[in-house]
Amino acid sequence: MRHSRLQVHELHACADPECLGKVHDLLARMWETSPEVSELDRAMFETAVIEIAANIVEHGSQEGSILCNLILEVYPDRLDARFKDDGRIAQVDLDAAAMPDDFAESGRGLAMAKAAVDVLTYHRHNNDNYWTLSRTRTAS
Amino acid sequence: MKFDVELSGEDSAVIRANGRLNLMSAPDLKHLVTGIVQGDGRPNVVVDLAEIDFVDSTGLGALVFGLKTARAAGGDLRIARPGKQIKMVLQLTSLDRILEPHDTVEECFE
Repeated sequence: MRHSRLQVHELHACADPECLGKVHDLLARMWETSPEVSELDRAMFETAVIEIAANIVEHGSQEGSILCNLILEVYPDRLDARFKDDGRIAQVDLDAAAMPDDFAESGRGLAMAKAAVDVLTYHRHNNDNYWTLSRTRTAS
Repeated sequence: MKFDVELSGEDSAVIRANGRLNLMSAPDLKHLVTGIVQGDGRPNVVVDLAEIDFVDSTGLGALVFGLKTARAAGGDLRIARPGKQIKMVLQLTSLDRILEPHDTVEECFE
């Protein structure tokens, strides 16, 4: 049985570096209205959401600005995030995403996001990118 | 993000910062560490993370860069007082093997 949604928060913004602060602010508002979400779930979910947002900002740029839509949802049993952006196609292989060597200075973002949530998907449709993330909530 | 640097002894420095160590602030930390290690000749660096409330993969990359820069100069980079999110990402990435969290700045100098 699917649980009913407790909270929904939405952001529509240009995917520029300042956008990351707006995503943090949106998450902060979500935690304020959902204080029952455990500290571990918050930290893991926020880490994954920010990694995907940073990936969109860093790799999606092209001529003109990218528009990004983010929906965050709190359910009794899980936390969901859905991104949609009109940037370039993301050249990612989520199945192959793995932690690099300890001394690597980059290449951890997708592996971190994958490890921090239970579901991470990406697909391209009609010139838009769609990312979905879902973390099963731990008992608080 | 604002950085403060406190010089310690003849070859060490403590970097203090607040806010988020991410895509925007990580290049500044790398530049700062390079200046301290290679410019000032202080290869032992402590990064006090007490006032940093979030670190992303780019921020972790900056800390690894700092560690490599310090070690290449014969020193080390150590981290002190990380919050729960930072400890979590260090464990998630297994970077706690090379960036062991210390409870105090003083402990980093032992």
